[in-house]
Amino acid sequence: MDLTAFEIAADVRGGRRRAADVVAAAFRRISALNSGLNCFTSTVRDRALISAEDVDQAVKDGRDPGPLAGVPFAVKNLFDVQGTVTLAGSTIAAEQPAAAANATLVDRLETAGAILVGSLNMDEYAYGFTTENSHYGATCNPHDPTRVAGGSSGGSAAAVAAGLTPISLGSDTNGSIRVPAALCGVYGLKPTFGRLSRHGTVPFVHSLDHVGPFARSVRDLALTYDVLQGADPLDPACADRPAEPVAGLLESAKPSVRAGVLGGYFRDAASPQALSALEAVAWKLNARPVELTGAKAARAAAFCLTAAEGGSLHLPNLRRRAGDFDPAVRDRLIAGVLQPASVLAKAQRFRRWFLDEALRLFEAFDVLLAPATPFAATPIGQATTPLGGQSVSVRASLGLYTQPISFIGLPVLTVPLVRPNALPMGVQLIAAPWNEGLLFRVAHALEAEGVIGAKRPSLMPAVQPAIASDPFGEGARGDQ
Amino acid sequence: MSEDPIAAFVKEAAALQGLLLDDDSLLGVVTNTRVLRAMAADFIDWPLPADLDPAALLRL
Repeated sequence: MDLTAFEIAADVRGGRRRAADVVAAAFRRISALNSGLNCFTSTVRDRALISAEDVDQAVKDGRDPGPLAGVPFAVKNLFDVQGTVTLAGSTIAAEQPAAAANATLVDRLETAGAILVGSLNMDEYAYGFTTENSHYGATCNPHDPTRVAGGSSGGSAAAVAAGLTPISLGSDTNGSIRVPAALCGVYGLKPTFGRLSRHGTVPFVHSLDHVGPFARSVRDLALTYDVLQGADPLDPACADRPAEPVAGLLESAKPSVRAGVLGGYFRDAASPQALSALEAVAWKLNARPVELTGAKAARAAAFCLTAAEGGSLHLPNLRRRAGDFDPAVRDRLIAGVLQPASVLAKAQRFRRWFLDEALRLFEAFDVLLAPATPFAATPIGQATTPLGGQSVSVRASLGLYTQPISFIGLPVLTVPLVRPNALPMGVQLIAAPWNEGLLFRVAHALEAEGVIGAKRPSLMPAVQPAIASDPFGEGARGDQ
Repeated sequence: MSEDPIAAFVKEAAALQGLLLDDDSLLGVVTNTRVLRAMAADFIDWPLPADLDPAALLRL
């Protein structure tokens, strides 16, 4: 596949490759592939070329161009990009003026030398798990363009899976990083609630919103995560903690971890493919079965809180211009604001109890395992799927196993299983709060042993000539 | 025939919130309200300690 962020940065920093050439190649690849995938809703070519020239000049002058020098990246279109309208997947927001400043995480990546190339498709207001956006179209899964990419950060996962950019940013309220990462076969990190700044992003559910990176390797994810970390007084939920870098931990000895594989709720409705993926990781880590009491109720409480908080946030526009919303999003938001207060108060109290239950498990386990999704990517437009003997909504069910975990803010690294000739499936590696470092070490060890890894999609034949001639050299490198 | 109580609730509650629902939207909101009620049933009666305080929820 194309070069990793690590390789690009090493080459650019070492003067062996120009950032301007990397960016030009990225735009050629986007031009060739995006029309078939619908990952990008906008690109910022001029800005990217100027940034690339700055990086190349820094190298020429002997200045440090940053740890991600010349690495192209893109962001879910709920991140503010100065001079660009922040869509959040909606047409209502499209009427707003362009953002006056960058989101904090966009600034941090650019300060590290990474080069923004554009913004990515998503479900409207991040309320969905499939990125079938009624305004901007569906994002296609690079492994099978007739299938969904997952959501709501579908553009972010698909862009990375297709090699349009080596890294991207997304957001995760109930699973919106973990679900598309799993369905597109890439890595996605939902860090501890409060770890990364959300300043300059469009909120969905304040008490559940997280942001995080996607990548095709553990090392790239770690390099990206490290430059994103740090306190930010502009996000009141961002913890006042120093950065805890993880990239330097990857080469340390394979960690000896007490792993638990979540049973009960996390297995009952899972497809054979999801269980097979889970077992592959569980076997490698000698995981013991363990139950997390209350998981089904936690998912339900997260579901109700999401509808209520999201509905409340959008209530003014629901009153004035309900017809401008995606109907599926609108009806869920309205139903959310009509819920009795007693339900929401109980959901918050239950949340505290459930967090204590989960923290108790971490007295006996270092890492918990669960499927990322109950099934693999479904065909675009398919509303329901059989699951556990019932016909269930695809949109709602994709978050079955992610919602209970984000409900209590635990860090999760979603890893792609190596599954030859099969659609991607992912597994959630879950740790105690603030223990992302351990997740990276475990994932790196699993990747080194060949259990997990991002698989190159079979790209559409029409794009092969464009790829063969680009300076990434993909045509010469062949499949990996 | 009496009106579906969920539909009646949705109509009245939406009107009180200043929300105007056409027929399609009413159907969609009623469907989603049923889903939310079913979800709430999973935790609304969950036995919790009387002194459980959710205030420190996000102090991880």
